[in-house]
Amino acid sequence: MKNLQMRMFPYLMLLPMMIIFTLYLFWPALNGVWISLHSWDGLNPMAFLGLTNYTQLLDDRNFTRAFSGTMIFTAITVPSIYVTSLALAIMLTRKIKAAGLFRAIFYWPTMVSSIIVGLSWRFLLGESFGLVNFVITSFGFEPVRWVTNANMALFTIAFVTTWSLAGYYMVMLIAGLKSISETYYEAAEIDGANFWQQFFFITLPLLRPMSLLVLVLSTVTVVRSFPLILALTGGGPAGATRFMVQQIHETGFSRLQMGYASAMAVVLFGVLAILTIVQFRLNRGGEQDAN
Amino acid sequence: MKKLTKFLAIIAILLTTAALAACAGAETPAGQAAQTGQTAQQSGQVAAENGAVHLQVLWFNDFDEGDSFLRLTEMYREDNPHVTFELIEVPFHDLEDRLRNLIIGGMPPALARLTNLGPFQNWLVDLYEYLGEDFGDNFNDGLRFEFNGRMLAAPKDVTVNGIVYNRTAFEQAGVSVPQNESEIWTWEEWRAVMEQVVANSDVTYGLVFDRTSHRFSTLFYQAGASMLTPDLSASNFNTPEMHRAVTFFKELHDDGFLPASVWLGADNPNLLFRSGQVAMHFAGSWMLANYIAEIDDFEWGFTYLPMDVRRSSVPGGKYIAALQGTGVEAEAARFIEWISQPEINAIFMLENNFISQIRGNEMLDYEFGAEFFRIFASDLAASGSQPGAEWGFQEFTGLINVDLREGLSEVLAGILTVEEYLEMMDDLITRSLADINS
Repeated sequence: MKNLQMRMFPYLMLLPMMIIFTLYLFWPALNGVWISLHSWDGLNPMAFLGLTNYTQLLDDRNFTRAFSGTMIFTAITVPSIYVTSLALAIMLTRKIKAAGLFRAIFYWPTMVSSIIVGLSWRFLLGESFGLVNFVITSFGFEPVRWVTNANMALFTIAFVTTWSLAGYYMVMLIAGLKSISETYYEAAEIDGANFWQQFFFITLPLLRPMSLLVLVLSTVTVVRSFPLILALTGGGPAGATRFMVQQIHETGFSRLQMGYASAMAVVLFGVLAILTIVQFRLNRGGEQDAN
Repeated sequence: MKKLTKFLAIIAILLTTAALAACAGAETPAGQAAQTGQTAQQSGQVAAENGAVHLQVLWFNDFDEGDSFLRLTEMYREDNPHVTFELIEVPFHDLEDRLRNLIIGGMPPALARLTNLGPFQNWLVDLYEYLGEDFGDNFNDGLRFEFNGRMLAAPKDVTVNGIVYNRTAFEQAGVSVPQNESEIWTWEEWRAVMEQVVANSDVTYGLVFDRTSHRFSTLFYQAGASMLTPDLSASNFNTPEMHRAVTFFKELHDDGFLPASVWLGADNPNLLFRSGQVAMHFAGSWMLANYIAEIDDFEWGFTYLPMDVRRSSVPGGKYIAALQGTGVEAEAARFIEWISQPEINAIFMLENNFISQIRGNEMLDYEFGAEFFRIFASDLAASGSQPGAEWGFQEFTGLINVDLREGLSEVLAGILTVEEYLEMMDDLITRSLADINS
């Protein structure tokens, strides 16, 4: 009996959280899968379609465009976030003056609502009436089409997303860097290793668990980007920055195709799951290199 | 390996929920929605004890007309003290989502201010049932309110697409706008005038154009095109007239008359015009109250819409509707009847500079800009019936509205050719009509 109680205890402790997860996450998610098999405008009775919504996705140019856009955006932004946050973390773990102040400054953008971040940068980078273009044109140059040229808009949102998220991952990487014993670096210095050798043969391998966490979390965050992009470009120009989540939202709430939007959401889940598994495999589950 | 598999399984479940919750979280099965009638009455929406009635009103503002509406509810309460009102104010772009959520959540409001009845037809009270079929005679033609023999809402105010100009900039440039119908510009004449205004005044751009399908449609109606055939049964989108309208709109962008940052970016045309850097704003009559209150830095006014092969504007407007399943349908209908009386309606119209659709309120004595209302009436009278018929076919416009706008943006960006856009829309319209009729 006591043995049974001991076995049950952890599950009882988990129960409240599992109830909350079931009610607010698992059930809506399963409901989403169910809805994806129907035609539904969000209000009137549903009609069962089977897998029709999924087969239609293959021919939907808006979906394929949003999907490929999301992948390109992720491929640009995630490495950019990782490199930036790692550079900041390394810089701030070295003995520099006012490191705490700089840490707070770099972390600050993560505390600002992403809508506010988007609107602020739109104020700065607006093509016709933005502050940056005002300065550029006052020196006699042509205004830059920051958010109305498709390629420029992609890099603009990648830059702003990096700016707004790097501080958060910087803190995680600082924790990872501080957990690496100084003795490795001392030994390497005695052996004559320079900064880059120390970085590639000590820091990166020993930072692998934290790097994996940062890469997984930033990938999920970037793939699901929505408010910042909506505020900065509105998905434009002409859909060039309309990614999966905005496409799902627009399909569900503007076109009133909830079933079809749910099918898109299920596909998005599949993509995220695959990306996560690939990252795990590439990083060997975050295990540190024994050598 | 086993640990890794478990960890991956957990991550996968979490990601599933995270990815799907955004979409599914706002949804409720239709079966639940079907029970709305019972749940609403249990929800506290109705406070029927001792004859007291509580009416929730879902409302959006063009400017601040909610205050004006609340004053009317106080007037209503003088004779009906048992009725209380609660105004739920939401941004316009959230209105339909919020109403949908309230309905499927089993707590529909008693009343709602709407611009689009299409998606909610099955949830609105038939006012004929409570107020009699004569009630419909109180309204002029314009906004469609009868669907399948049911009166689903009372038109509250009519809007008309129009063009507002920066009078100060025009005076700087020594250019005057048309003073009567005989002086109305063609778009080519307008283009020549804009070159003069931009060159000789402080403005940077000729025109900002609201980023909506409804506003753009004005151009194609003026070009003699339409989305549908006159009997609304088939697509009429892929025509030379439509090609010309789309091409013209693209040329205006390519030639720099319109800033790209509205249709290709996310800039707000209202704010751009108010900044004084644009000569004209293609918007509509509903901007009047906003600009009266917000523009102090320059003089402005409305002028006649330029024309192409014909003159046209596009009507629109707002309704007030009662929702089913609230338990207070009769009181909500009575309030709609009261607020639709000409003398009550006139108060709201005059305070907010709106155009009334109530018979007898066609010519109100507006304190400001009486000449603008004559211009709106003139543009509307010249519009023919097709714009009102097509935009009144709300089951249809709900299906094509987003693609009409987004496809046009792709034409402006050079992603689609005009021909591809016309073919794409023609195909979508044909499929949408088939869906509606199936």
